[in-house]
Formats: sequence, structure tokens, C-alpha cells
Amino acid sequence: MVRKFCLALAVAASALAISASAWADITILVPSGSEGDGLRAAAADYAKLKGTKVEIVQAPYANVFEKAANAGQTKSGAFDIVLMDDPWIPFFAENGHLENLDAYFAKMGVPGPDNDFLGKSLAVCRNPYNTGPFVCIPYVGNAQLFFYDGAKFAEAGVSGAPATWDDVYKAAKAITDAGGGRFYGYVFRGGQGNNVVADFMPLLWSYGANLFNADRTKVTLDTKEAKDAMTMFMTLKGISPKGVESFGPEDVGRAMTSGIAASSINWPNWVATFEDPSQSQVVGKISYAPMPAGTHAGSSEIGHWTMGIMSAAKNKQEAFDFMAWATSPEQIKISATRGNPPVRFSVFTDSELTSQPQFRHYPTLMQAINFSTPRPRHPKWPEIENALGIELSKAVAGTESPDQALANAQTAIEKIAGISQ
Amino acid sequence: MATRAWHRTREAIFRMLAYAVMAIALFITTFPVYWLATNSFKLDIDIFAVPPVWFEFSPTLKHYEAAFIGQPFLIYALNSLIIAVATTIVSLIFGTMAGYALARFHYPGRWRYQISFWILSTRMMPPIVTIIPLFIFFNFFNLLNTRLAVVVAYTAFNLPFVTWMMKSYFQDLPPELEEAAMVDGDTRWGAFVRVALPLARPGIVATAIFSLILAWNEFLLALILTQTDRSMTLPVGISGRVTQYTTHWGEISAAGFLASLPIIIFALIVQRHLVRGMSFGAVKG
Repeated sequence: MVRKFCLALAVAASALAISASAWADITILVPSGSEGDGLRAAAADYAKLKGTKVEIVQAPYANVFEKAANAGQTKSGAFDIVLMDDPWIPFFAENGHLENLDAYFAKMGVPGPDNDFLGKSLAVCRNPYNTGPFVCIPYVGNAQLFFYDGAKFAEAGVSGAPATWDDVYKAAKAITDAGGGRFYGYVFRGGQGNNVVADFMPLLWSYGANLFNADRTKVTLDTKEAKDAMTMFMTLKGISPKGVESFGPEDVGRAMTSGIAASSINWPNWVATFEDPSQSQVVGKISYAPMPAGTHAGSSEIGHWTMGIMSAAKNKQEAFDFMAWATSPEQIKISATRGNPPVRFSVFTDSELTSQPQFRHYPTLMQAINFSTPRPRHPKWPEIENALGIELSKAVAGTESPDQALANAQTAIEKIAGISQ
Repeated sequence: MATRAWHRTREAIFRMLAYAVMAIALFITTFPVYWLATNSFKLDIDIFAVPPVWFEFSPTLKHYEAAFIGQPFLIYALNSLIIAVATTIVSLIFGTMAGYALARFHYPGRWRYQISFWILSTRMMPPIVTIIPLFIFFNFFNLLNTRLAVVVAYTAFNLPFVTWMMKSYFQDLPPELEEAAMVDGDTRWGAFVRVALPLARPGIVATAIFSLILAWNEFLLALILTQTDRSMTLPVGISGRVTQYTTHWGEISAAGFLASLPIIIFALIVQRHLVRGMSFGAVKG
């Protein structure tokens, strides 16, 4: 009996291994995580509704960029749609991997996406930024927020949302000093690459600095403003938990949910975790605020997930039809209930959502998006981010002085961007 | 009298030490399985609790629901099963014949050694160095993102291992049995199928389980060659739960725990053959 079963299993496995199923009408590349999970669920709904076969290719964050870049460079047509992190857009657009969507909107009889989308959300989907043609449609409205434990901050002398980084330091230092090595006032992502850069950029902007000048002809990490931002960044490091130099989003999120840390910069996807009693010890205790100011107004890093059609896509019109459907007000609202921040004003202000605790950050998030700053729109941003991340991480780890780290990052970015000194 | 008492005491001490070592070994090997299994039933708040929650937690099936209903882990498991079984069968068919040929046939000079070493040498390079040629090869034949591509790639890497193991088993069988069959009028193929193969069954089972484990757990090639649910295997699917913002440890534990079960069950079913097979191939006259 067992022998017959094994034989049948073997024959079936061999037959199935060489059988090929039919190709899908649309293939979509998405990241692992709530953005990809949300679009996967939407694709399943779309397939049921329209009878279109939609295949989802889900890969870890870094692999999404690699897979899409490979598909673009080899013109393989493996993917019709790519769900992109917004800083990748210049790379894909300027290398000719993305379709210009103007013609598709014109075919619909409209000049572009409707005005219900937030202005900043639409700006990232144009290349060049805010002025060029649309090369994608926004889907997930991410922008960083400042998360803090209001009661602990009030106890430490800062009532309400901290207005400046000096306020953050004042409250966080008091909490760390009283914590006796068990509790900390601030925590951040110090790990190399995207981690440390994402938590450094809001400080850089809030002190009036930036990576490049306006026309991208000069790297500007050697300015007084950049050094002031770095000084505050390292000051905050001094009151953060040990080992922060290797921290990623998981470490920061768990430090907050367990009540070990009282504040951090974070992405809104974490709100649902913070408000879930099965995952968090700080339910209802965390407040969400716009980014504090330095010497200039505070600004969040925008991190939208956007859908674009690959130039080598095999089913471009079907892909556009899906994108138009998935970004409609009804679908963006459903996407919000699946854990993805919206990109539409009507969803941000939908009372059915905002009356629920897990959406109480929506007014703040919409404000954060409206006052957000995109990462430098450069086709070599992934390389630039990596170089900056290495130097910042060295400064956080104490293997390099902050000034030296900025100087090295300046040199490395100039080299990558092909800017002569 | 005193000497006998001392011997008895020494024996008791040695026995206690042996039990202590076994207990430590048992703990080291079973604790990760226990931790994996319990994490799969814990709420996130208990998974990350400081100090750790060892026993007293509210069990939940939410991670299993998320992994197997919210995520297509059942499809990944089916893909893994199909790919692992097909790889094992193809590897065994060709590896057994190659192993028999190397064990039995006459080769001029040192050719037996040279061919055997050449086959083994393909296992000496890290699989990653072959990934680009394999990618181009499968892309050319339009086989990327198919289970067939994964089976072909896995078979290529498993074949040397199967060939060498089976060669070792056939070398330990007395050739006189096959010669007797041939004297009675059987062909070489008949002697191989009717005499050598049944005798080498423990070796085949042992080789099959190693081949199955290799194919079931492989990650790197599958990561590159598979892209969608239609071909993605469990290890690649599980790695996908490490996201940009968080790692879904509960889902990873649930999928990981269930992923280890088929191999454990298969090993329990064939353990009698496995022990015989492992010792059989290792003994040289």
C-alpha cells in the first residue's frame, strides 16, 4: 500500500513538475509586506470581477528593485506593472524602463490622475519631480511620522507634540537618565544603508540642509547646516539604546511596542501594530506627530509606493486598466483597511475610517505628506543611499568622527554622481 | 572488595556523565524545534516578551491562518513537494545507473578514478557561480519561473552526490551474485535490475532521503529561478515574510514548523532502511 502510494506520488510529482500553467494576463512585481499583500488581495478581487488573470510576483524589498531593473535592462517583459518605492522612479524613468502614462490618461479622456489625490503624492509620480509627465500612479501614502509616548514626554517636561528636536532631546534625555539602562527616551535605525539614511534625512532637512543643491551640480554635506544636523543626530544617539548602530525597523518598532523606548521616527505602517493588543504593550499610549523642527521647519521623508507600467510590458493597456481600478477612491479605501496608508484626500477624511482608533493618525499623516520632502531625485539614488548609509553607520558606531563621516560621504556621493569638486 | 566497589562507583559516574552529555545534546537539538513550534502558537507580544515566555502563553492559530489562508504557503508547500520528489526520482534513476557503471565496469588505466573525480568536482564549486549561466540558459528556453527549471537545476547538483553514494553501495555488493545471474543467462541489465537494485535498496532509500532533504531545503537557486506562486518553493516563500518594515516571526515559525514535518515523517517511515543504508555503504572489506 505504502509502496503504491509512493509510486503514485512520484509519478504525479514528475508529471506536475514538467507541466506548465497558462501565463497570466497581467504580471505585477510587488514587495513583501503590507503594500504587496494589499495589492495581492486587490488583484484577486480584480480577477474575480473582470475575469482577468493577474499574477503577483512578491519579493523582499531590495529584490524588487533588482528584479525590476533586470527586467528593464533585458527588456524581458517579465512584469507588466512594478510597485515601486518612490526614490526608484528616476532610475526607472530616466533609463527608459517606464511607460509615459499621459497617452493612457488621454485615452480615458482626462489629463491625468484626478484632484482627489494629494498634491505631494502626484508630484512623486512625475519625472522630473512635479513637472514631468506621469510615469506612475500613487498607491500607498507613506510618509514618516514622529511617534512618541505623550505621557512620558509630559512627565519629562514636554507637553503635547514636541515642536523641535531640542524638545525631543530634552524629554528623551530625562527619560533615558531615569530609565537606569532599561528605558530610553529615543531610538532610531542605525543600521547601514536605507535604515540610517531614512532616520537621518528628516534631521538634515529640519536644519536647512540637503544632499544636493537645487540643480544637482554640488553635494552639500560640507555645509554648516549639514554639520548642525549631524551634531543633533549624534546627540540623540547618545541617549539611545546600546547596539542602535545595527538597528533596523524591526528593532525600533519592537523597542517601542515593548515600552523600552519612548520616541522614534517611524513609518505609518507600524500604527496598526502599536494599536493591536496582541502585538503591543503601549496600545493607546503612542501619539503621532509631524516631524519636529530644527533651525527650519520639520519635514518628513516621503516614501510612497507607486505603480508604473514597464516599457517592455506585454499587456500595457490591461495593466493601465488595472492600475486605474486599483487606485480608485473605493479601492484605496479598501487598501487602507488592509493596512496601507491612502493617497486620496477623500479617504484620509472618511469619517468611517477616522472614527476608528487604528486610523486616528490620518489627519497627522495627511499633514506630514503635505509637508514632506522626497529623497533626492537622482537616477543613482540607490548607490548614493548606500554610500551615505555606510558613512553614517560608521559615525553611529563610533569608528569614524561625525565630521569625517560627512566628508567621506561627500566625496563618495560626488564620485557616484560624477560631480567634480 | 574495595576495588569492585570503586569500579562500580566509576561505572555509575561514567553512566551519569553519559546521560548528562546525552541530555545536553538532546536539549541542543530539540530546543530550536520547541522554540519554533511554540512561537508559531504565540501572539507577537509573547514572541517578543522580555524576559521570554517559555510555557504560559495564550495559544493562537492566527499565524497559521495568516500563512496558509492569507498567504499562499500551501501552494509553496505543494511546489516544494513536487520539485523535491521529482528531483529525487530523476537523480536516483540516473545516479543509480551511473554509480553501478562506475562500480562494476572495467575502465582502462585510471579512468574510473578520473571520471569519478570529475563527477564529484562539480560539487566542489559553490552553486552561486552557476547562477548567471543557468539564468541565461533557462531564459533562452523560456523555462524561467517553472518547476521544471528548478528540477533540472537541482538534479544537476544532486546527481554527483547520488552517483557517489550509489557507487559506494554497489562496490560493497559481491559481484558474484550478478555474475551468477548472468551465467544463468540473464543480461547485464537484467542482473542490475533483478539482482543489484533489490540488494542496494537500503542504500537507495538512504540516498533518496538525503537527496529529498537537499531539494526540499534549497534556497539560493530557487530564489533566482522562481518568481511567482506557480513555482516558488517554501524556503523562498518563507524568506518573503521578512519585509521592509518588520519580520513576521509568527508566520515564519508556523510555515517553518510545518515545512519541517514532511521530512521528519518521511525519515520516520524509512528509518529502518536509513540506518541499514548508512552503515551498509560505510563498511569496506
